[in-house]
Amino acid sequence: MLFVKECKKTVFSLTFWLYVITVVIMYGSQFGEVLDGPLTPPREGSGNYGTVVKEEPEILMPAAVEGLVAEYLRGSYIAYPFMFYKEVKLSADKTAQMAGIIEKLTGISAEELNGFAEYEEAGMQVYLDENGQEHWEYREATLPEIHMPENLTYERFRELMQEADKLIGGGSQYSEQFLMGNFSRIPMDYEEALAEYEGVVADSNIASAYTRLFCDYLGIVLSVLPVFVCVSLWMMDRRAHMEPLVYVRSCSSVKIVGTRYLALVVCMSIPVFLTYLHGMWNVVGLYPDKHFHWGQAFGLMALWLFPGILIVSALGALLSELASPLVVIFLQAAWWFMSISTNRLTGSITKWTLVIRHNSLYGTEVFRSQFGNFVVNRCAYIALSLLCVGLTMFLYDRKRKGVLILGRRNDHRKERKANQ
Amino acid sequence: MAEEMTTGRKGKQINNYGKIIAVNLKYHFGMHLAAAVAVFVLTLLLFNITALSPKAAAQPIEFMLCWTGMVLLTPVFWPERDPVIRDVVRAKRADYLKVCLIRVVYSILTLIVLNTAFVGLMRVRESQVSLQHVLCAVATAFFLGAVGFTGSGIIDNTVVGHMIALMYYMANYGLKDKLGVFNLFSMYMNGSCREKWWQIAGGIALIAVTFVVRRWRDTR
Repeated sequence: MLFVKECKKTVFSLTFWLYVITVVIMYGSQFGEVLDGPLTPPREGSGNYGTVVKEEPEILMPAAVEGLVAEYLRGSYIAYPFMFYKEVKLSADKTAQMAGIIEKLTGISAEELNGFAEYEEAGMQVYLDENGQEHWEYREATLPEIHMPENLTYERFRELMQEADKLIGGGSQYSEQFLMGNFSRIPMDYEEALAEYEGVVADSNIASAYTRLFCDYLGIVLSVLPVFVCVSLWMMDRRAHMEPLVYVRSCSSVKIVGTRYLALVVCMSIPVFLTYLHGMWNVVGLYPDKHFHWGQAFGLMALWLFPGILIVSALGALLSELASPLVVIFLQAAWWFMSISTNRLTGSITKWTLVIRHNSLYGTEVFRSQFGNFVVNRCAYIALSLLCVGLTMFLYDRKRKGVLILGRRNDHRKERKANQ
Repeated sequence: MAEEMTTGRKGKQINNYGKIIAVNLKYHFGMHLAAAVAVFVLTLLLFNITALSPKAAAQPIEFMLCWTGMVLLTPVFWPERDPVIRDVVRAKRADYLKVCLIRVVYSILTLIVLNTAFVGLMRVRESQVSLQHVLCAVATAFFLGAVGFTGSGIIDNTVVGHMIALMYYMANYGLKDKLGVFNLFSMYMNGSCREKWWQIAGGIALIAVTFVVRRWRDTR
């Protein structure tokens, strides 16, 4: 049976076992840490319950403006345009523009700002108590007195923040993506922390919470490694000079390509499924009194991870028919890197994100708020992968009939004309 | 003396290797060079290289530009991936592994040029870079390329070589503390260049081992 043959070819290839090893290592090294013990509820009176992001203009506006003034006086701006931290220094022209933005936000002119000599960066400082013992305490930055104009509306504030972010080059603390998270974090009280904890460990959510984290880790490797297994399998016929033998078989191109693709996807899904089962088995052990909603959790895992395998394999197959395998690998690796670099750890699911991240057991509301994007994203990639497989079947058939000979097409035409 | 150099046995050898270099550059290097240039351009697009501090300047170099090593060194054995072609090549007088060594040399030279050019571009854009960053860039790319080269050479499969190189790159995100002096991101994380000398030595060792293994396999 063709499907069994293709599965055997896949399973006996070295790239498949390297893929399995990477999946297992990723699962063990990253998700394994979470399985050390159950989540514990917050302790009343501990004082530190984490923070929650709430859009409170009275808190957000002064904090963001102080942050911007401090960075202006320091002469550099922290930014994460592609996830990685960088410090941006503005040119003289952009610095003058930034001073103009600060003047609109605070009423402080550029001359006053540049003439402020008492600036000191925020940080830890040591002081001696009356007994001569050293103590460390956090010191706020020394800034000029800031009074925001009364007629500065919240909307205008947001516009000015966007302008500042554009000057810095995007990804700054004042961008739409980071503004609230950086400047409107409010410490949670015990009741809020307890409510968040209970929300995560509720019967209806606990399996999904652990599933999200599992998918977050595995999604990183499943967005690139399947291309190696796919390319390796697709190259086998070419490497063994089997193409002429396969081409003359009565089996249709749809069947050959479809079966090969299905075998690839099924084989690569098995280690994912097994590690998921292992992980969830351990989760059940951590919470023996819970009633897990496995249907919901499994559906989430399947919708999250399998479209990634589908699209990477489909694209790998299509491009393998068109170009050199090295080109395929390079393009997929570049796409993977760009997706990884532009994603935050939680809350950045868009309609075209390849590597979906949610690196937390918490943040259920954040994930739910982006669930629409998540579903559209995954369905779009399933549809795109089917389209790619269809195109692969078409190209394979053309090659089989001798109509499409890449790289030698003109020679082939000349030869046919000469023989006529 | 000059005449002997061109017409004597040694002269003929030099001419032959000159032809070998020319043919390899013409027919086997273009795609890999294009990929390396694409990595160069992609790094410029993804990372801002203007006015960076020394530590921030290590980021584009170690996180993305190092892929130039992977795309240049890993496919050294690619032209002879077909066993039939490899047998034909090995039947020739010119030593096949010497040809591969020539490919390694010009790939490393290209890697040095591209990485130095990138650091030079950063300097033009007022980033605080120095010769240390050139060393960092070349060493990181060379080591990652050597990992892929070894995988490709010993397993005799370039796709596997690329996979091993990418797996090693990914391991640097999760296992950076455990990789010690072979952590690709050492300059960005620690501000230290000391590890780069180890990576150069490690890359040379990997390439040497690959040639030894292949020679041993050929003479078996």
